[in-house]
Amino acid sequence: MREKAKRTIWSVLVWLMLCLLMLGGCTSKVTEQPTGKTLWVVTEATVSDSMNYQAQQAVATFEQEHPGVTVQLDILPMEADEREIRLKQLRAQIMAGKGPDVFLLPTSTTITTDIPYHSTSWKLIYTEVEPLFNDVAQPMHSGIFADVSSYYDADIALNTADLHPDVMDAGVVGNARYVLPLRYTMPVLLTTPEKNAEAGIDQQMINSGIGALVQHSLDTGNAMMGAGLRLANDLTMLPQAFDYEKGEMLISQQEIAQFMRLYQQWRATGGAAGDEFLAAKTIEVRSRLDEAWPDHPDDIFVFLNITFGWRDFNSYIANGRYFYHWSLEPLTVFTHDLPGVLEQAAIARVIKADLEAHALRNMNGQSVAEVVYWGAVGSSCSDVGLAWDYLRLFLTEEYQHEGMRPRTDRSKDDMWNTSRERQINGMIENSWPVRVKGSATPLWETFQYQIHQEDSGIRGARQQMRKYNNRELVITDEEMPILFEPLDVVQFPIHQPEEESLAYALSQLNHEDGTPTDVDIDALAEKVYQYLWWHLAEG
Amino acid sequence: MKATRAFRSARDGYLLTLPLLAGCLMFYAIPFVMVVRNSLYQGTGYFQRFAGLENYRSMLQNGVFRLAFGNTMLFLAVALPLMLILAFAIALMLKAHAQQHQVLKSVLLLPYIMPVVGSVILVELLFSGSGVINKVLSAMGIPSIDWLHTGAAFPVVLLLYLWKNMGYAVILLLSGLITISEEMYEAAQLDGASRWQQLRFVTLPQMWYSIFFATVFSLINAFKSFREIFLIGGTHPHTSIYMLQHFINNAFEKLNYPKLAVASVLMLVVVTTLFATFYQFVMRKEAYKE
Repeated sequence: MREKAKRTIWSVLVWLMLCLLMLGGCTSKVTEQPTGKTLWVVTEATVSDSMNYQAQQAVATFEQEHPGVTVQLDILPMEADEREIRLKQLRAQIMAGKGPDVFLLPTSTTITTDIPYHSTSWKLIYTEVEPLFNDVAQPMHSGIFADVSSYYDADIALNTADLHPDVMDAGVVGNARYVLPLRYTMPVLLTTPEKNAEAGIDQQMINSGIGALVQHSLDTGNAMMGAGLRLANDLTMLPQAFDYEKGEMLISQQEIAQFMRLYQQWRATGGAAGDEFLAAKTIEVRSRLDEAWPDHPDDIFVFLNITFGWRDFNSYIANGRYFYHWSLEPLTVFTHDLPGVLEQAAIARVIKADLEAHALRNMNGQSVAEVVYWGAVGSSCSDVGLAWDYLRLFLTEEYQHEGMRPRTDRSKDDMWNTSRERQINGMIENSWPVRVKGSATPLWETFQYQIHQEDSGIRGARQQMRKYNNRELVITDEEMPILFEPLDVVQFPIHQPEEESLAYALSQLNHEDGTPTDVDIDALAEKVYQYLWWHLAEG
Repeated sequence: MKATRAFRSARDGYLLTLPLLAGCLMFYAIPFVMVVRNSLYQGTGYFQRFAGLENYRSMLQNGVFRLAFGNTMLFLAVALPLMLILAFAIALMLKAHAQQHQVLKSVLLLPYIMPVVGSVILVELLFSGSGVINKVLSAMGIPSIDWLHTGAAFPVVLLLYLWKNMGYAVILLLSGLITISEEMYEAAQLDGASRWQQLRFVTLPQMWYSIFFATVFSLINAFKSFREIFLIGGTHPHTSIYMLQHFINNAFEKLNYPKLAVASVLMLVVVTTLFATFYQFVMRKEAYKE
């Protein structure tokens, strides 16, 4: 009996120990799950008056309209180790069908945040991060997001006709709308008829794309034209890489090599000329700064802003940075983004220049754009209608046209006469809203608001700046017809690891002074192509 | 009385194994069923839709999957037999000395217990562009070889696997060898059997279980060698060492769960088939012995 009792006790003890060991493996730090009526929104950090500010405003509006529902705004960490763990958790949760209800994310892997600098300005911090989605198009095709087409089509109040249709179609697969592009960018070629005639550029050449323009600059020896073209070192100017539906590569290794050879020649001529020009300009500008503001901080950042067709002039100092507008005179053409085109359109109006803005086309002659910020409802969301009610706010006019940024007063009179809440310079995410109709006027107003808040009193600046920064100058959509041109290709950027990226490959082609290296271009092109092949096949 | 005692004994046994069974069910069986289920669906969450064998069809047409699968099968086809043959040979050589030199067994296991990072550092020291091997080659007037980023990476990884796991396989086989009675060898010698005949008719028939277990553990270790390959070559190493685990790992990061589920199921089917066949073979051999 005693033996039997002993055996029983030992059996129970061992059993308890095994149970404890098994349960011990279950304890781990688990991210708090939204429970009850909670809308879980995942987003990235931004500067304080940008998308995070909008998201917070949207939370307030949404919670007011939906009493009993709480929005949990989950901003992903930026610190590398913490972020790696968080992303792994998030991916596992998405896989298990317990992912976020709403995604509100940028496509860039560079997160910009701000910290107070001096008493009235900010310092911008740029952090490279691993994105949650390397290529938004892939999860779009693999069912990570919910189809919101029925909500989008039925939402009459949203006036979806005012959104750029080609940009919005980037989030459509078949008949389903999975992703809502919120902001986009496109490269724009700025010219004037006189400059075109001088350089022998015609509309056919512009329509043929960047390859024809660069080749023309090389053939005619027009290095300054090459300097103005500013060939991008990413996949933007290459033909579209993938057919996600069929899972096929659309680009060949030879096309990548061809682009790289062109880039190498451009870098050796136009690129080098542009660097030389900029370097000389920077020296000149710094000496003007020393003259105009002898007590400037040592670490002041000099921001050279192109102004097409105007003489050089001092601009303003904002957020510890010195803005200087300089004439494009030596350059034949210039490329800019949409916010830059806005300013050029205003200057062109003032000086009565005949500015032309064309979509800068890729090697295949296609007009291209990239989605910069997007939103989507997760497939794990149990109430898509509720998630839509939150997400749709970002497509409304107020949010799209920079209305949801800190401003003391919307009245134009107040803007010009009183001090106001400061905004960080630049459009949201340095991009353009997808609600293109009626966008030029409010965005120009934002631009003026930002300049006006920093009117620094540099000698000569006020007079010059007020030539176009004044209440009478209103820019309308008519001055920005580029906003309504059809776009052939609208894509989500593909994040490539550094050593397998096109940017890295292009950096190997030339020395610092622009002279070509003797690197094996075909081998580099093969490496870039290989990664793209992997990227398509694994996703 | 006897039945009650038997029942109580069985009950205690079941109770003791219950936590382990529950754990296996919770952490292996159920997730496995979920993976198989995910391989037949597309999407996640509330918007999953049944795709049937569509995922399998598209996976078999996927060039990268075929590359990864092929490399993994090639690695197993070369590494496992090589491992077993070499480990068996070493175990035979050590058999006579194993009992006297216990420290020998500890030495054999040293590469196995070396941390992964240590192994990778060793590989870099030996096989990197400026590594020892290339320095020796240069001294001999032979051009350097990029061991880690060309087709030469496959034999390097194979060598690393053999070096790291050989000791473990030797220990497993050695423990089987020392259980074979010496009398059998003496009897065979008396009958005029050669060393090869003793190996074939005395040693091997009694070693099938040990060989099977050594094969199973060698297979597990072969999959574990992904860690070293990952540290040497990153997420996308040279195509010759791009393994199925790379494909699955990268598919997870790209949130393509059906792909990684299909890849896992296909791998499991192939490996299970091979091992089931091998196990049947071993069981027949053992049945014959009995």
